[in-house]
Amino acid sequence: MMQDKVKNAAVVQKQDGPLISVRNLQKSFGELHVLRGVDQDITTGEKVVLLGPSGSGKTTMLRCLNLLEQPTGGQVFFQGEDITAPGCDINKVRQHMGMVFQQFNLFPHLSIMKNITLGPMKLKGMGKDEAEARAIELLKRVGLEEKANAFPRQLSGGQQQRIAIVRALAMDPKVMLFDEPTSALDPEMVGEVLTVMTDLAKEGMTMVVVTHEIGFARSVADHVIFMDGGYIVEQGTPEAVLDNPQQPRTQDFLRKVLK
Amino acid sequence: MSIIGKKRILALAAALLLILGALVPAMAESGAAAEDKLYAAIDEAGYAYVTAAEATIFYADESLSTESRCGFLRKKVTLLATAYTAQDAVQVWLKQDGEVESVYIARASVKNPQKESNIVSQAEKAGLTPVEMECGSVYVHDASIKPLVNSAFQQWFIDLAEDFYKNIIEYDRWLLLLQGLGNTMVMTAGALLIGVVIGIVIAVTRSVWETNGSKMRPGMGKVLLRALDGFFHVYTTIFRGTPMMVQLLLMTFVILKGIPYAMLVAIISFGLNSGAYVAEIFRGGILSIDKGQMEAGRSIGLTYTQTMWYIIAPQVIKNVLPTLANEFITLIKETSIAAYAGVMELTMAGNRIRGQTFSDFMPLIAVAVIYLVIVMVLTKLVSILERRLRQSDAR
Repeated sequence: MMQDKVKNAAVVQKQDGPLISVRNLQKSFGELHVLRGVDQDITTGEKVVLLGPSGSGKTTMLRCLNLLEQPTGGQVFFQGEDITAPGCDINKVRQHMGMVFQQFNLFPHLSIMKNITLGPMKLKGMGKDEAEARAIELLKRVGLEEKANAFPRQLSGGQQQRIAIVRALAMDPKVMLFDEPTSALDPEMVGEVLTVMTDLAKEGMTMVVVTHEIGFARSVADHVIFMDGGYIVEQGTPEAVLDNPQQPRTQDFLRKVLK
Repeated sequence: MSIIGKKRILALAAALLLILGALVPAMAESGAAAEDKLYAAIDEAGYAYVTAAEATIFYADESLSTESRCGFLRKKVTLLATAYTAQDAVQVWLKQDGEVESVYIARASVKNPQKESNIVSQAEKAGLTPVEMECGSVYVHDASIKPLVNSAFQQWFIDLAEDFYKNIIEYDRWLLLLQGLGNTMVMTAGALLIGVVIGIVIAVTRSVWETNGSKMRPGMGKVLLRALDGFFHVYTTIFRGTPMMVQLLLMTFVILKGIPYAMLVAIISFGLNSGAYVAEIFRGGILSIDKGQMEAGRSIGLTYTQTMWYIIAPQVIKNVLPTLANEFITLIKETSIAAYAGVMELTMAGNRIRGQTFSDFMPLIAVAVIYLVIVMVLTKLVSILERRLRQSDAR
């Protein structure tokens, strides 16, 4: 009986529990402690925005979620599975976690089409026709279907970032991680990328976004986390954190950012 | 005429064709059998000549008396002669009616009284009168006249042609050079092949250790990788830190002395050496790829190996291809020292010809020219390759 209960509890956690759980997450680069113990749950469909000054650990926290950064302590659970455990096949897990980088990181030697279809074809065993049809469908969603045969260097930063989002979406991820997706863009290109991200949010995608775009956080986020010095300083709804911050460091940061 | 004589004329003809090609048609036009004999006599005496058509230009001014025209002509001819040494004798041959037929210039150094008298008799048979002139006594500045016949240069060229014949054509010596070139290319290609294989293994191992070593979980894999990295570091240090020549001699006479094929030993030696350099080329190529590329590949779910294969390797190859081609070009020249290990490559072939003909200039220059042409052609191909790669970048 008791064993059954435990087993059931585990199953329940896997199905209804948070999509991602972070427990006492720590990361240090040599002497430098970037994350000093972070706990956080992210549920399916939730849009989480991470804010904080540079060096606060927000990007490291994001990169620990798919183990691009190997945590030096604590655990990360994805759908209830401890992905920081030695036996875990992180490559399988990453197929369900799309990531978008500040510098886009498109593959310059491949056409846009091949950038998008590489993952589905090599990892999901998808046929070329199917993968390309899916890619065109996704490209239409971001308004770049005519760029399918172009190469990354022919595109503007904003276009490249939209392609990077499509490349991640082509794997049908359960969550999308955004690492300052608009920081490397010219100001007039920020909008087109944020629009795509907002649309994605409306469709119900689970998103974890590191950004400095307070406006985006306000309109899209369900949950805003303010980090500093490797800790979560304050978190809550956008209204609570952005409009009525309780912590002096949050207030100070927002004053500088919103000025 | 002896065989040598015939061949000498062959070489002479080649020289005339190349440098004095314009004179040959003029010579053919002159027609008359007597004149042909004259030209043959002049040729045999080692004289050069200008044709009537060219000489008439000096003699065309009707306002002058015949005497002054002759004098004018002498001045012009003397001008031609000043291009040579003061000892050169100049002879002007005129037809009996005073019209200029041809101007002949002879070099004193090849003067042969017997042959000269032959010319005189032949000229008389052709109806020409000799007018003796002295050189260096008159100087006329006239930029419109350029020396038509430079016998000093011509002689140099004839010597060169003969030298060329003796060292390259005779007894099919060029076959020796061709064989040497073949061996040089085979050796270079073989060495580069070995070099690329070794280079890639070293570069991948070392860059994996460099970028990932600190993140690896402790265990056999980490120990092995560290050991390999250390070994390859020593390898590149030794092969880049000692002269190729010493490595080659050590391989030939000490380490691989059991292998009786000098060429094989040389290919292995150059391959091992090249591997150390190619490793650095590839390592630089791998490290030059932005680490975001690896992260992007891994974030999709590709394994390390898959990312290396589909994402990193194509970009590295594209980056290092021109450098690799340059390494090939460098190797072509470097393999010349294989002669010391007894390989019949291009330099050795040239040396062997030197030993046979006792000439230094032609065999060595020939070898140098062959290297230069091959290197220039390959360099051009590399720059075309580079341009192509750049184009595909912009695509």
